Amino acid sequence: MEKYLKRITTLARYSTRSNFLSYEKDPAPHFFNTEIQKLLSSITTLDVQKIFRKRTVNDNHVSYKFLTDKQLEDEVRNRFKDAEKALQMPPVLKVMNDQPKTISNDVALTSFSKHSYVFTDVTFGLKNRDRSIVVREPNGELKEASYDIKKRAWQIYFPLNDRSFREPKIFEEENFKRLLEEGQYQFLLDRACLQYEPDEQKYHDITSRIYLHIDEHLKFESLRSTRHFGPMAFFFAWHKMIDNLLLDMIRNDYLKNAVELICLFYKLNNHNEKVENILTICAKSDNLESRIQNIINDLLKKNQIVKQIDKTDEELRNDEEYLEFIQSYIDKYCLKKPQLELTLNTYREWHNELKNIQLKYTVG
Amino acid sequence: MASKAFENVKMLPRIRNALSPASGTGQFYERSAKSIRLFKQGCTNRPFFQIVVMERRKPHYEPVIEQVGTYDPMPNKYNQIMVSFNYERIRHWIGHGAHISTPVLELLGLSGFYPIYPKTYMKAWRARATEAKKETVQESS
Repeated sequence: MEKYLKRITTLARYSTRSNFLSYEKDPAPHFFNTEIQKLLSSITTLDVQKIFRKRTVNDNHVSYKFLTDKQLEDEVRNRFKDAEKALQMPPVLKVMNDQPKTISNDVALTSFSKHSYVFTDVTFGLKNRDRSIVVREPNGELKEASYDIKKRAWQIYFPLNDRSFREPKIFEEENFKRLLEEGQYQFLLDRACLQYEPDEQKYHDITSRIYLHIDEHLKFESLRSTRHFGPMAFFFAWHKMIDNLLLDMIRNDYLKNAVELICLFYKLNNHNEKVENILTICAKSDNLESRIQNIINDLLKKNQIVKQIDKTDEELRNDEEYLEFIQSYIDKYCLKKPQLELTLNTYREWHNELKNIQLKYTVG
Repeated sequence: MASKAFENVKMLPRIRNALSPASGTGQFYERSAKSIRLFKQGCTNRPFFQIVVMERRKPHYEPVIEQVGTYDPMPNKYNQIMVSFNYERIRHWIGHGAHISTPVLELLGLSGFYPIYPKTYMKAWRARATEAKKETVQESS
């Protein structure tokens, strides 16, 4: 009995309209905008080591093959394509407005049965969202099924692998809290993606709660180079709370991403700032092709032993532009000004030192 | 399918196999009378029905031509009875002149595919009458 009561209280806590940040306007047209998609995927950063790391799944096998140089190159390129596929972001949509329409109301049918009847169209080749699912109530009313019923019917007649029929236990309050504290963000988000559709209230509640937890504990690194990083950045930019993420990016030397994040912030909040110049610089320094080539050369042992330099001259020059851009953001819109300025100054010092060392190196 | 040479020979009864995705193993004559009816499955004390197309003259336990839906007569924990119809195939078989049994007609009526079957109205008013009777008995006692 106690257990049951506990479960009911957790459910009740969930069912109260979200205490977490939500999207008032429809974010979908912004999210699917090509420019914003580009920014988001660039912010995510593609780290092949992280994407293809060993995971706790059954299939972690490694296979060895003899390959020619050409085949090896193709193989590396294909893996990069796979990595891009793995980073496809779950969409950010508005919470659906579920108001089932009444189709007909036959009073003469009142109390024809004690139960309601759910009729599902199981015609082959229809998309689930296009299936007509209707309910005949015991009072004779014929109406469209509510979303809960629809989802249950989909799972009965066209089950989705690994989506559980009942509410998963990990989203119960105590388990959810524990996992948050353990920092299992990706696990939770993956499960939420699987269990809920992106326009469900619950999906929004869970994801926003996770994002806020990450923001509070500055654990952005755990989502970097996963498919959830883009939606998270979008969430922060939308709700004008990018400062922590920005701080983290500057500290970890993701200056280009920081600039892109600020551009995203400007675009989503309709600030009239000039971003074209800086974005072209960002786009130029985006060197996926050279990274691929580097890896291939490494594998083929064609790389000459080069000077161990952290950054090239061009990168250093770009960094200066980025710093200027970030400074302008801090002056105008930043909410955590002293903290960010301090971090930025530390970065500047480090940057200058690096420059000096490199000058000496080249002169010497 | 019969070969093209025999297509004009209408007099010969042709035995066919259904080839749709949910087709059963039942063989049938092309021009025989078909029926869309409930086919009881499940086990003791747990009935479950499939809605199937069969030759009308055949008994219920023979192989079916095609399965076009399901009907679970026992309500689930949300007090709902789950019914599913493959409306596309049902339309196809109705177009081929299939007869529909009364229970299936009732379900199709309730689902809004057909007009409400008269028997459902009868059930409704009888239930209301018994309810009213009970109430009057309670009031008088």
